[in-house]
Amino acid sequence: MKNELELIEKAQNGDQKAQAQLVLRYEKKVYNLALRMMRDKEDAEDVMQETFLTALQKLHTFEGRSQFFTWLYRITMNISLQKLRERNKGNAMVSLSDPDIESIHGQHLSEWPAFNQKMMSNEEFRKLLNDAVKELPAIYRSVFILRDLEGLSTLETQKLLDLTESNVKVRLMRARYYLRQYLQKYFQEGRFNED
Amino acid sequence: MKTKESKKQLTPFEKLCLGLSQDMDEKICKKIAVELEKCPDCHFFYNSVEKTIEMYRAVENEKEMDEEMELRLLNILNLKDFKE
Repeated sequence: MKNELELIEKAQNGDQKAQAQLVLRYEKKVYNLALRMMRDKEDAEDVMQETFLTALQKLHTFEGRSQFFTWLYRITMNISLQKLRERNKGNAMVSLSDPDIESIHGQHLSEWPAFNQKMMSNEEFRKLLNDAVKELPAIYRSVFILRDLEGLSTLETQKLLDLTESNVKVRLMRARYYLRQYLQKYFQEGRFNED
Repeated sequence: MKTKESKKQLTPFEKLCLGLSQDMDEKICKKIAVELEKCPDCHFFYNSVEKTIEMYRAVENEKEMDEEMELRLLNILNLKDFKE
């Protein structure tokens, strides 16, 4: 985007109007990513502020080899992960395992209800989804959020998080199964099934 | 022109490999596909993984930032006076 490159160049040269424009262009995306990672509005705001402070300080190092939003996302993720590590200091990290296909046999599972409007507006259901992600260790949460919620590709995710392709795939699969297991008991009880 | 391949009905596991789990490598995918064919529980299991993702995508939509939050941000960055 030529317009954006010009804007970045001006911002790099200290043009505060251009800096403000860049901030306003990306604040919502950065805030939403931080909110998905931190699961708390105040923490997300802190992450957003730190992200832009860092970005403006390091703007001269941006060489345009990646897209600007990828560069910003990388800063946002690093700050979020650091804060989550501090928050969870002392807590043992849950290690997630791969789904065991053998153990699925004979569980007599039933089909989950289709996602419906009633669930969407149900506060208890929304809290359940949020609690499940909060339980997800940060290293898995970050991959799930970037791949499944932000819609980034595997390649973009691995670059952003400094992971190998295989790490991204394994972590994503484990995160998805963990969340699925968390929600399973509620659907088994029929708590959110449509009347 | 449609090829023979594109007319073929995909099994749930093939769909899983193509869509939901495009990140799985082929070997794992094939192993899972074999399991699904002979295991209804597995079908429900993988279908529920797909629904899990669908639910998160529907609920975790983008949130708006309020004006106060934006002002606080611009203030911290010393850019308040440059907002057009």
